[in-house]
Amino acid sequence: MVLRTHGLVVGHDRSPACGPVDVALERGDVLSVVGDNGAGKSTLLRTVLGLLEPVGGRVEVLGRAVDEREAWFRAAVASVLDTEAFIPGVTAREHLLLVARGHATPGPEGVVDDLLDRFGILDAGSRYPASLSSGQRRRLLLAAAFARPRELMVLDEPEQRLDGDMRRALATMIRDEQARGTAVLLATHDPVLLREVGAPVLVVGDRCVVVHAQDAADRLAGDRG
Amino acid sequence: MTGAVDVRSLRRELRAGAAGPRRTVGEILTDVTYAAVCVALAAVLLLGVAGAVRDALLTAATEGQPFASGLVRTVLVASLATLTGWAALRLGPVSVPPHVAQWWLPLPVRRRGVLVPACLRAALVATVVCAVATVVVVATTLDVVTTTSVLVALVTGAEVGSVTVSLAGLLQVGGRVPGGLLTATEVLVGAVPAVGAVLLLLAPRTMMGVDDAAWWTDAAWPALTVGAVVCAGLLALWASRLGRVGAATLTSASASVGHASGATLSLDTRELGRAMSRERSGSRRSATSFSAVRGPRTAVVASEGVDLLRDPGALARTVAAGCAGLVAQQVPVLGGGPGLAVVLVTVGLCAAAVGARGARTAVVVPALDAVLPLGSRATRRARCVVPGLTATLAVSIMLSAHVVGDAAWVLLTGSASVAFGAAAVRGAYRPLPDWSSPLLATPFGAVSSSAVSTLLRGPDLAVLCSLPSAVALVTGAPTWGLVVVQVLLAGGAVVVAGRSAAR
Repeated sequence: MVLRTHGLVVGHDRSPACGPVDVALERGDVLSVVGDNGAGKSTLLRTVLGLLEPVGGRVEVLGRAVDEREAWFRAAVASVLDTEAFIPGVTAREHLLLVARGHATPGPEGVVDDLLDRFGILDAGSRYPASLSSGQRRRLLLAAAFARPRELMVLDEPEQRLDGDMRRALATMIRDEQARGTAVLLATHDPVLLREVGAPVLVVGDRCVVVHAQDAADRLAGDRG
Repeated sequence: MTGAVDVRSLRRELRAGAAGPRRTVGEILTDVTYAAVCVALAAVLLLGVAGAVRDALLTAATEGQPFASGLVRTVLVASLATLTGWAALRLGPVSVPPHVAQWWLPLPVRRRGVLVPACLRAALVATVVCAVATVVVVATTLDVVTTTSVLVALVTGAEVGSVTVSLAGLLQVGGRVPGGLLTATEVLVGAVPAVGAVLLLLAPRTMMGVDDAAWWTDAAWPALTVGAVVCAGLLALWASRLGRVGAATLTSASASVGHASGATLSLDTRELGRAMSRERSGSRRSATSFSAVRGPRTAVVASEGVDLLRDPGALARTVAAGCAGLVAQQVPVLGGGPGLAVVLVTVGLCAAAVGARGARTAVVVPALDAVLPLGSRATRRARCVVPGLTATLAVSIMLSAHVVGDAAWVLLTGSASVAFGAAAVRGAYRPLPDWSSPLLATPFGAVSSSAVSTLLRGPDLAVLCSLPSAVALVTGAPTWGLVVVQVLLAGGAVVVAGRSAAR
């Protein structure tokens, strides 16, 4: 079991943000998380990552209690939230190289160049992250998550600042992760991404329920329309 | 409302509205008296300390320990000028608050009127700070301090500050200050004490003979008069060209000033360091492959090492710290014994702080420590390596006369440098002050006790874990027992620095 929650209640200052969550992700499972603004999607992801204390219940990753300070957790879990974390003083390509080599990724240079190409930032590899556009920095963050080994991937609205083609490419990469045996937990507002990924969807609210991707995507598209 | 809006009358009305109810004469007199008393207290305190230091120096000089006071004064005043220039370029020198930038800059009004107060404020701050600092330097190091020498020092410092900030202002008017110029200024900040140290090493007798005492007398007034005219001219030229400063330049300067002001007010030296540093931008022609990186620990060390090597200003500051320590030893009371131990801790900690940029960044962006598969304790211990190396470089320069050819001194100072590196990391990861803690009453107002204790995190470890080296400096000779204790304390310092906060 890669990720398991037992009556997990998430929130801030002991105040629940949504109803209890019970999920179980095996290797190769993908779970999308949707909900209204303020429903608790990001709070759920941050709690799974150990950045917030649960209000109630518990969460386990790889059968162990979550502690984001531990080496085993950092080695197993790759995440992309809204925070930009770039190693200071190095270019975009060097950042990916350090991440890849730091995680002992085989063939790091080839992996990095391939990721820069897939995320459309090959030409930006020699630039410092501060010089990149917000969209390019977002792609660099995503590339860093794919540049290292992972058993669980947690993505918070990865579609932000990505164009349509890139979102479809991302969906393909998530399906590839699934085939590779990585568990993926992904919060999103994008109906296209939901449909393309095609995974079960956890709707976060006062009552958290799991629905089909198509139903959730239709509902999101309807909300936008 | 008909006709064009008269901007002057609009500003007058806004200013009147913002001023609030009129203040009584008594309230104004109270505030003025309070300010005057604070300034007088600070001046008396500064001059008292300067006098005590000067008496100690004179006593040492009469006991046969003369020091190159002229060189020390020249290096200090030159360092003041370069520091002022660097700070002025980094922060503007002219900037406007964000609300002014948002409201006034897009309006079709002459920008000069909005910027003249900021220009005068920057000139006043630089002039006053440099004047006071020069008076302190002269009052501390000059053999005979008279009213004339104090006045000459005051005017000399004021003119140095005024010229420096005016030149920086004229550069700002010309457009965004090139990154290369900022880097050159940073390197210059380090070069001044380095040049002083090199001159002292190469020609000690000549440097001992450097005598600037004639300057601090009435003989300086003609030159100072000309200097005053030059200052006034530069200031007027700068003020006349203020309308050419671009909005992008002003906006970026206002962000830096806001950041630095907030950090200063909250006594957060770490944040002040971040406000004064520049984020690397642009692109690089050459890239590092990091082929030597074999895992997370080497990744941390390699990234911090590359970051340091790509920052000429940081390297210059490291060398400058060591050279400043070398020059400081010219002051008799600092050339041996407890004084030298104090210089060692100061130099070691300052140089280690230069190398601790990675740790300071990780505090602001906690996700950075989670990028690599290394626990938080091990990450912090890995982050002690580069600060330890910068401390080693500076301490080696400072104590070059001791360490050359003496294995015990090499091990002692090397281990002490490891402790300084750990202390810098401990200081970088310190928590924010708790402003709800009890206040300490001081002559200058209330200060949070938590702020004081937080500021001491880092220096506390440096002082404690460098005690064996301090003992060796006081006694004048290291023993192998001290070396063993120093090595153990250095290891303990790294363990302490690695401790992370409880969940």
